[in-house]
Amino acid sequence: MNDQVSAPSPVARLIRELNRLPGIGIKSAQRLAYYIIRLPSEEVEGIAESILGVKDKIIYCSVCQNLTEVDPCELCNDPHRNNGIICVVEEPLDVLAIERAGFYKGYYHVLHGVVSPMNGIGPGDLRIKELLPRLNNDAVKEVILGVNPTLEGDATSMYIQRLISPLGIKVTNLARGLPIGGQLEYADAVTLNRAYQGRIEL
Amino acid sequence: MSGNRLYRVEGLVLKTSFLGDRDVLVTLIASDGSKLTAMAWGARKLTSRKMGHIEQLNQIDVTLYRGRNMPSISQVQSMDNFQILKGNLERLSQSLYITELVDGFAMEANSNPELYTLFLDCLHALQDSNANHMIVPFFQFNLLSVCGHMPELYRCVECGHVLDSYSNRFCIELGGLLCDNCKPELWRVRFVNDDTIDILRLFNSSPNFPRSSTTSEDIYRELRSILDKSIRYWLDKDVQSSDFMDHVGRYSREQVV
Repeated sequence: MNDQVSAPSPVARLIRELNRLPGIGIKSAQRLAYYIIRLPSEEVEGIAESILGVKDKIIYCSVCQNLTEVDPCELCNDPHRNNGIICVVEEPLDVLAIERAGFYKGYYHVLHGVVSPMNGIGPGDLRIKELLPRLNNDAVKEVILGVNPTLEGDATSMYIQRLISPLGIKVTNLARGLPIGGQLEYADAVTLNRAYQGRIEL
Repeated sequence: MSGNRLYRVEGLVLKTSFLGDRDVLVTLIASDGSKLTAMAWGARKLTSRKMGHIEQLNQIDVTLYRGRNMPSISQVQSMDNFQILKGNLERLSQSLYITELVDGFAMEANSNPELYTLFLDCLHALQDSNANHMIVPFFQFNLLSVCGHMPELYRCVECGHVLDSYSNRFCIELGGLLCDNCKPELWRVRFVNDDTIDILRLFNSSPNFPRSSTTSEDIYRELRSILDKSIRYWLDKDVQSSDFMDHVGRYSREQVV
């Protein structure tokens, strides 16, 4: 804290602002601030412009709720994708992870979080209501719930499944079980049980 | 010396929060009823041996390493995962609600074994029950009881006189029923139904969780209102998960109708 007090006020302000970012403690903020000071002016302007640009240009896609520059987003505008499947994910980063893997050719829906009752996050705080109108046409045959296998993720899946099941659309979950490179002897009972239930014929 | 730094604890996981990209902060209630927070280093990695065991609501046997600031989890083994409970949205929402209450009332380095036993018994009751909506009010009443805030149901909370069975005036802030002569000016007094008082007295005398529920919707609502407000008063903050529990419960009851 002494460094922050003795630093010139523009530097102290930069440290304070960086310290507000998730995962950045006061020491990391100080290191980043002094690194930025040492950078050439053009590079610092580039960082500042990109931060401002992200706030000005990025919007939510009106269809899938993913972050995008154009509405509808590139993925929702792609006519070659399978319009019979929608994969529901927690965060925009999950879309990137699935796209990177390259096996999925359907559409997405981003919830921007999961139900977390103990933190006061209920279904109304997520983008669930935007999903339901997308299911009202006959084209959608399957909804894949691709949320993380946590207690809160499971609660979200069960809640969405409850909403969708009266529509007669197939609802599936991503398979759960043993990770590649993991060891059977250290797996907990739930993981083993899920792996057993999701076993496939070779 | 390093051997003395390792110690074993049995407990129930109240909540977990992610720290950075790899680590998880685990809050649990130990079997002696005290709350403790421990760090599970590297638990978020896909091949971690800890993550599956430290899920919320798991009963765990954990070996802790006493660190300079907080203990870190050295080994952990789940004893009960409450899988049936976690697979049912209504029971899960009730479990999360009671977990938030336990998290609110349990204190660090403050032993209260009855609180741990009550929490564990409640999770077992929710796991074994079939849509029994009296489990949560029973838990709320007994939670107040084991934490020293049990509502007074047999004597006037103002003057101490033994009440006859027709006293229907309840004061949340004073913590119980009032006789007809006492009229506290500072606090709001609410009228409660005879049946609601009977249920509260039944909760007081019964050691076990109710196996069935035959209460009318009105009495159930009044019971919940008294207990919710009492808990809100003693906890001095809103219980975040109650909205979700009520939302899910309402939906389930509509489906049954």
